Amino acid sequence: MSSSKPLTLSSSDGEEILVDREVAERSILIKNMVGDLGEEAMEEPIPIPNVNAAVLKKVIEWCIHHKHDPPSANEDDSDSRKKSTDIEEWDQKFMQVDQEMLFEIILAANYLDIKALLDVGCKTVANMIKGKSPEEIRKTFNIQNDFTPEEEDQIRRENEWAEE
Amino acid sequence: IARQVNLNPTPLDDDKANDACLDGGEPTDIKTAIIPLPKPVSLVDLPTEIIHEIAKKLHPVDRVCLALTCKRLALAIVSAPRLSPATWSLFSDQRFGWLPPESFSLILRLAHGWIPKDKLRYCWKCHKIMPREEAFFRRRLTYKKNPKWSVKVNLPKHEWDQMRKKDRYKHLVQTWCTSPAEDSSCLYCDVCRNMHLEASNAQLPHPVECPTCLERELTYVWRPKRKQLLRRCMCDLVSLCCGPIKWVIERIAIYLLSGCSAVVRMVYNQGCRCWRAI
Repeated sequence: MSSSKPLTLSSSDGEEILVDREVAERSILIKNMVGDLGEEAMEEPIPIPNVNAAVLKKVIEWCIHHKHDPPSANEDDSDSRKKSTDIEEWDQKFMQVDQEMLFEIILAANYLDIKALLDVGCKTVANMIKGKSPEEIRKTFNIQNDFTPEEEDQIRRENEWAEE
Repeated sequence: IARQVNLNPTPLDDDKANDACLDGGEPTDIKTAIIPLPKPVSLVDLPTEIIHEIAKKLHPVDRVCLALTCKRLALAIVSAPRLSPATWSLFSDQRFGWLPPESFSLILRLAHGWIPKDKLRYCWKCHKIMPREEAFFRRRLTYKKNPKWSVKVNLPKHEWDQMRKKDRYKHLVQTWCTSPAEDSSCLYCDVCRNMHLEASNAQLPHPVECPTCLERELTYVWRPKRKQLLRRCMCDLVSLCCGPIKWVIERIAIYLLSGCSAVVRMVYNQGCRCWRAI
């Protein structure tokens, strides 16, 4: 078991959160930071300027649950068969948040370099897109259509599916 | 898409106001100028590399649908890593991994939630999106046979029977071109199917078909297969007639050949005699 001291993470809104080092090192960014700066530098709170407290707590919650997971392999591992949609039950429940929080978690996972969490977030978004028409996707994600009718007409003309 | 359509997103009004405020210019909207609220993150605001990650987990048809939502996402999807046989096999049936993605579900989804319904309509029978233009079908219909009555023509039978052939075709085309009714693409959508059925008092409406398909269907006449005995008799008759003709042709060919060889022999003999005389 790890006997190292817990780390203090400071969110963008100034809140300080105490985290086990093992948990915090699920983030490659923090892991590298600890490795580069040494144990002594970790006495001070680690600033996480791009992530607010609410999101950081969610990310830590995920890291606590997955702290015993084997470290993710290299990039090629992402091409495994289960990649496309499968999400663990706990992760599915974890990701049942409003869209803003979901995208914040994805951005935080990207910033903190937590590949597995980023993967779960992207899968969740992909599942929300699957099987939907462009109009339904727009409604789901509140996207404004900035294609003009002429441009859409042009796209249709370039693709031959409309006519024989 | 990338070559033809300009995919640079046009800035929205709020963005323009915020930009003007940041630049020190006079803001157009006072509320946004005084309190620059942080904009909630949405799918469009995600960095391109994250959209690429999402795209990697999407079937090609889903990718196309996502790209057609707005220019920002179109630009991101166009630049996403392309599908290779290895990555495509993740979405396809392992046994048929060599088959490319089919367009059927894409056409259906575009028909349901992308095309302008006042200009185009989806035909359930031929799975195509056709324009609501009379001229388009005038070129494609054959007008040869008189279409029969069916519930699909949306007219009582006695009324249909009184119509002339030309009027029947006109009715088929006009129904397609001007009907405000929803086409059948919504029946494939889990969300819209129930709404559609509720709106039509839980009666399953007949799927919408284009005039070309209706013409084919309503003018089709079923003919019984020709009897085998009749066919055999016809074959016998033909072979019986062919026998003497064949015999005559053979004879003519033999006479012609023997005549030709006699002529050749005579010419040769005459030549030899002349040579000796010389």
